[in-house]
Amino acid sequence: MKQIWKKLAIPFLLILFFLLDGIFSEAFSSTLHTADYYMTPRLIVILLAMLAFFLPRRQMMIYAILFGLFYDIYYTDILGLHIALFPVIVYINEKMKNLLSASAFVIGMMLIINISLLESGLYLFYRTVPRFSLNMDVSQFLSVRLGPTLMLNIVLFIILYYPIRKMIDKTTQHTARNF
Amino acid sequence: MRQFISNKKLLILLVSVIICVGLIGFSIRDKDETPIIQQIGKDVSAVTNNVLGAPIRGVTNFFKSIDDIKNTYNENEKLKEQLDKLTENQVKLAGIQAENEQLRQQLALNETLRDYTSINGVVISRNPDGWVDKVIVNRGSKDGVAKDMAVMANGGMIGRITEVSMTSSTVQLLTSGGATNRISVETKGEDGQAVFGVVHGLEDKEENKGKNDQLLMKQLSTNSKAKVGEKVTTSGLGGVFPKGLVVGEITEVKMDSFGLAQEAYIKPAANTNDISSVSIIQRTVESGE
Repeated sequence: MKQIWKKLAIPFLLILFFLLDGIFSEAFSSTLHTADYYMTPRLIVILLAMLAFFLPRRQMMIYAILFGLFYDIYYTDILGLHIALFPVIVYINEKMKNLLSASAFVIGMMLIINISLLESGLYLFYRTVPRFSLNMDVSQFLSVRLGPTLMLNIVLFIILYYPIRKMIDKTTQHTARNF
Repeated sequence: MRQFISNKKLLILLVSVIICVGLIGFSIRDKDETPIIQQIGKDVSAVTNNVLGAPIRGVTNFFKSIDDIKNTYNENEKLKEQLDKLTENQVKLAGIQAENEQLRQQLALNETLRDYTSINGVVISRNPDGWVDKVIVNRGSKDGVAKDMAVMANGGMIGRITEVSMTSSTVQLLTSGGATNRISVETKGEDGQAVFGVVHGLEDKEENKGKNDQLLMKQLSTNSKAKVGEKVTTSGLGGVFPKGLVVGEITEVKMDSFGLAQEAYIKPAANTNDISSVSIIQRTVESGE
């Protein structure tokens, strides 16, 4: 029984965080979306970025592609967007885990890079495709979208780091250098 | 010298780029129906979402109701005032309705553009990155929802259905921009004549700064001048929505950048940041397509 729970804990948490992103933006939409800023909760990215430091590469790639696909199907309705960006994030973090130690500070820094990459990628996509007729310029994107989103997710990361780390330590025999 | 990227990696990268671009091209075009694989994915997500979202919704509703209690006194005062007017209006309305019915029978008009049936649903999720503003509703094709139906909430129109699966459907909000996101509306001009136009989501331009929560009505017919404070409703001419759904109220009228037609800013009647339950509107009159 315990063995099964250990196997299922991480997929279950991924599913939970994937859905919580949408549920939170619905429940707190008047707080998150105002005229001056637009914050995007990225719980699934926080979890993927953290897991990439501890789980084997093959498994992480499958998770990233699977949840990228579901993100596209359920939320954005444009297949091929998050399905491409999530594996990139996981790949970068996976490369970094050999060079850096998996401490909270390092993962937090990587998360800032990851989320900036994701948001900029999405911005570039919606900006280039004329169908969406988006006219937001770069400075507006930085102040309205990227800044507040980074802030929200760093706060979420600080709150969630310890419990997620505890869970990873309990359910996996990871090989990362940690202290 | 070692190669920077091995051939195998390069091949994988190329293939995945081609697949992704292909997928984007495939899903970005106009389609009448959501692809079956996407429908299945949506159903799976929506069912799990319903189960997991229920306790969270319960908690947020509890806090919202506490908020409501705080405003009860003020609201009560206002409502009492409105109530006095209401009875008067009701009597008038009953008379007019009866008369309307009679006149319609004389003309043998059974269905008008105004008639509709509605399906009630609950918002279960929202697109976290609002590049395209979307909410997900727990009613799907098994409840009779179809693509392009109008969606009402908080006493105004908030958007239209863009994707339908069996147990859920996606609503694109009016406030999100996009070339395909426009609806045909009408309002009353200064001399009482109807003025027609098309509502767009607001673009992030310099001239629109500080009006992020508003909509823009473009291509106004020029026979009469639009009036500030007048209600804007759907015209029923687009072929999908019924006539007479409230969209919002005009806050500002100006000439467009070419000086040829009028444009008007509209404050939406429904607050799109606080939607919990919606009704999906189905027009009774079949569009002649």
